[in-house]
Amino acid sequence: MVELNPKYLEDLPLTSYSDNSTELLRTGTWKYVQPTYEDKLPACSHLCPAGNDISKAMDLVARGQLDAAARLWRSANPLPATLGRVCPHPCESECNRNAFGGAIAIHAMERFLGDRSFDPAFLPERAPSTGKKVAVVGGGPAGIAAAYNLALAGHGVEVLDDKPAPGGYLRTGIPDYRLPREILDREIALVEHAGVTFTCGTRVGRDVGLDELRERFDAVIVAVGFHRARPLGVPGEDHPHVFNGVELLERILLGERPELPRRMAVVGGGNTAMDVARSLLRIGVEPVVVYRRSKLEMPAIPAEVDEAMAEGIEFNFLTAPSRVVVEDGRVTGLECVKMKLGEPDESGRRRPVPVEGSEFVVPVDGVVTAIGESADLEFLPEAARDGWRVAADARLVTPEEGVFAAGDVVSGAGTVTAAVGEGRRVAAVVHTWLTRGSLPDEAPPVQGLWDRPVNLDRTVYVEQLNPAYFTEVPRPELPELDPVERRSSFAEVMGGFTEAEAVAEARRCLVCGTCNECCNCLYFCPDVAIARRGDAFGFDIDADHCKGCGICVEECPRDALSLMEVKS
Amino acid sequence: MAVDLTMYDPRNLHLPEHEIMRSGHMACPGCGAALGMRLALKALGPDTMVVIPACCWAVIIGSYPYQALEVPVLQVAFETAAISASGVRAALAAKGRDDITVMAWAGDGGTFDIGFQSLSGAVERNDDIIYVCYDNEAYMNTGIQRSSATPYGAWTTTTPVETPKAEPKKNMVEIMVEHRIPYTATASIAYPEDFIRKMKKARSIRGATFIHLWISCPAGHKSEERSSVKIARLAVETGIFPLYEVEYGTRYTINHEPAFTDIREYLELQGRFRHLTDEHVETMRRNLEWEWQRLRAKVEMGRKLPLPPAPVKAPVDEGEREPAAE
Ligand SMILES: Cc1cc2nc3c(=O)[nH]c(=O)nc-3n(C[C@H](O)[C@H](O)[C@H](O)COP(=O)(O)OP(=O)(O)OC[C@H]3O[C@@H](n4cnc5c(N)ncnc54)[C@H](O)[C@@H]3O)c2cc1C
Ligand SMILES: Cc1ncc(C[n+]2csc(CCOP(=O)(O)OP(=O)(O)O)c2C)c(N)n1
Ligand SMILES: [Mg+2]
Repeated sequence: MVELNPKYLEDLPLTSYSDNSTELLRTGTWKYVQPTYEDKLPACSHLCPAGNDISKAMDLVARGQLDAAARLWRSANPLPATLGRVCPHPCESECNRNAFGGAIAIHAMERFLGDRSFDPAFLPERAPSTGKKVAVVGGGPAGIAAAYNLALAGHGVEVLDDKPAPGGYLRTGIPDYRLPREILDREIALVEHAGVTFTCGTRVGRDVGLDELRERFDAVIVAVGFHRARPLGVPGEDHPHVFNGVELLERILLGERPELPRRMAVVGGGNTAMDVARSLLRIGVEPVVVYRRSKLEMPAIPAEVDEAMAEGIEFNFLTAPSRVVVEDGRVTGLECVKMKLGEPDESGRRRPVPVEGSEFVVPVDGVVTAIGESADLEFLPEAARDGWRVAADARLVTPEEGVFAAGDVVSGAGTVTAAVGEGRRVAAVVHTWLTRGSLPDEAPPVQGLWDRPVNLDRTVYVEQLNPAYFTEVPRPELPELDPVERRSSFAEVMGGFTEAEAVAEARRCLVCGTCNECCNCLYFCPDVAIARRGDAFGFDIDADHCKGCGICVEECPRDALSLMEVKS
Repeated sequence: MAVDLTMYDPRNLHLPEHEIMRSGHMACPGCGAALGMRLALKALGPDTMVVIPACCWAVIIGSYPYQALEVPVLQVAFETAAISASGVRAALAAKGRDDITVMAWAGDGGTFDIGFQSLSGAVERNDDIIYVCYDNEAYMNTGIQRSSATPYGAWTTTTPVETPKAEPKKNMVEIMVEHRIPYTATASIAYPEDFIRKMKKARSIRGATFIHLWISCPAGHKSEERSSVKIARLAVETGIFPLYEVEYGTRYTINHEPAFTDIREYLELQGRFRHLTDEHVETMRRNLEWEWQRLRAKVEMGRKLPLPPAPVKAPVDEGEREPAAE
């Protein structure tokens, strides 16, 4: 007979009745992988040279926190209202929403957030003074972005520019119909408010030497852009009715209305050519664009080409000038040769080759060249020059101690957004140098300057999203000024979003790679191991009970969680 | 603070916050049955009693003296889920308590096979219980033996790859429908809002209700743990497991129109289907098409028919139970 232990009988209830929570059992020890919240780089921001934190800002707008979004956007980018008008917005081309109804109108959203934040209250708080002084040579977007970020970091910053007012090509190149002066002026006023001093009409190399600057300042940033005209290289171009495009634009944009021939050929296919042609049209000159490749190869922002065509401007593609025809001291035409497209060149575009014997004359009485500029770097010592560019390494550091560089003179990227991004990056490098006395070993990408942690090694493309959670929602149209009205005025062509439209658009954003507390992880956890943080943003994973199944990672719509190996 | 994210996209979920299931339970990682219970109790709230027969959940819940649910649970013999729930209901009635929901929670083996007669009896009497069959399509707890819920072509330890299951899955929902109970529905862990709505609806009905919940089982389906919800979603989107509900054995509603994704996408994620030939898959496709024709025909028929005349197993009491606490 089996003897029952009386103690056992005492302990045992009549029926076995469990009243302890399994929470006491640490089933989390079973796992060999564990999920972690890890924001990643959205495809849009990955392609944003200025390094805007797009997904976070869209999330804030979607939640109705419009001012917080505007503050975030302006926190390191001083030119959102400008970029929201002139940026070629590469971000939109990779926007993952393309697979679900069309890219988010990020460009228009930037403009909306920029226009919302002209009040100094939107500026970040300025760090206490470091006592250090920085000179920025060149007041274009690169110089402005560098100066703004350095001033906010507590340094004393002076920008020297040879033009009557700061802005670089934003003021002397990009016309009002794309970027109203008032917008640029308000953004620059904010930069001054952030502590930057602008000294205009001062040309380094003429009015003040680099050595003097290096003595007076703790660091010098060279951001002088491309302002030296390049010759066309054809007979007859020394005629006074053959103009340089950026010089002529500058005169028009700074208010001059020069006597000009009635019909003028505009040679080139970049933004300068488009802006010259469209500006000429607006002051009563009849422009004819002459470009040696086809529309597809034009370096200008495609929307600008379309707008120019809509305004009725005449285009001659696959046409290269060979001679300015001068008769009796007057320009009567531009002799051109027809081109055909051959093999692709280094830029990947098909190289134009002349068709023999195809010469013809485009009847014009003036010519404007818009074939690109190069840098004028004579004020720099030889060692700091590398052909057309400043000799700066990936960190934007030149061989001259304490001299840094940013913008077109470094990258030749030729966009405002790239200039702003480099301005941000050079500011970070100079800040490290001034505060720690040493240079960083590596230059982080501009997104590495965000104040929220993001895994920069992982970009979220549509393949990383969980399509089960997204429905197709079409992209909205933006208002545009009537082409006929445009022909005679410098009024802004593109319209912007209203507040309601901006919120609706932000709600279309998939917020790729960025936790937006959608709660899928929380709801789908079979182990009840995920909890809201309560007051703080986001969730916590209870490591004692998470078994590492990874459903949360799989069901996250936006790839904001990752599975990591458990360290034993 | 929590923001209603349905504003971003209509597919953002919005579920009750309340948790009745606790962590530390014994389910395998990625267990669909654990997720299913968690969601079910979110819907039913704390005034619930649960009856669990032999099945994985009898283990998942924890062994003495631990248990994972913050509501009373009665563990009973394999074949007795429904009759035991009827007994709990009778006991509650004797005590004058009509504010408690009684849920029987059983596996497919315990429902389609061994518990079939007791279930048929309980619903024939229209006992006031919610019977949830969480269907992982085999006897998983005892090591993956075939049940009558195992689908055509599937591998189990008793239907090896050389001779996979040759018969189609038993249509349990239709059998319940033919008992003319007030409410029968299918549900999926991948569609938690739909599932929770159906559980709340069942809770509001005084009479027998049957919910057929499809769940994934990484161990038994030979699938990745992280794919449990994805596979459950594909079961619905391929059309293999339609989401629908039937009132009074007559009124059919399809709750989610599937995308009719290629069934291969679903099959490929599960090792239990790895051996299938193109011929098998073609048979499955033809069956799927036929099942949908049949289902749609029933929707049509239900539209034309009036509700059944008395004596009907209408809810005992027209009044609705208080909605479950959130
Ligand atoms: C007509 C035109 C249209 C364009 N349209 C667009 C567009 O739509 N979108 C876009 O993204 N990009 C556009 N670009 C290109 C864009 O403007 C430039 O890439 C960008 O401005 C470069 O910025 P940056 O700061 O490097 O130089 P810049 O903007 O060129 O600024 C440099 C500044 O430094 C000054 N400077 C030069 N030398 C000295 C010196 N020695 N001492 C003091 N100051 C000096 C210059 O006068 C200028 O003010 C356009 C360019 C042109 C010309
Ligand atoms: C009468 C009886 N026969 C057999 C068993 C052994 N048994 C326990 S659970 C189980 C399988 C249950 O399968 P299912 O109902 O599908 O639930 P699952 O384990 O898949 O969750 C079996 C056969 C038992 N407990 N009682
Ligand atoms: Mg089973």
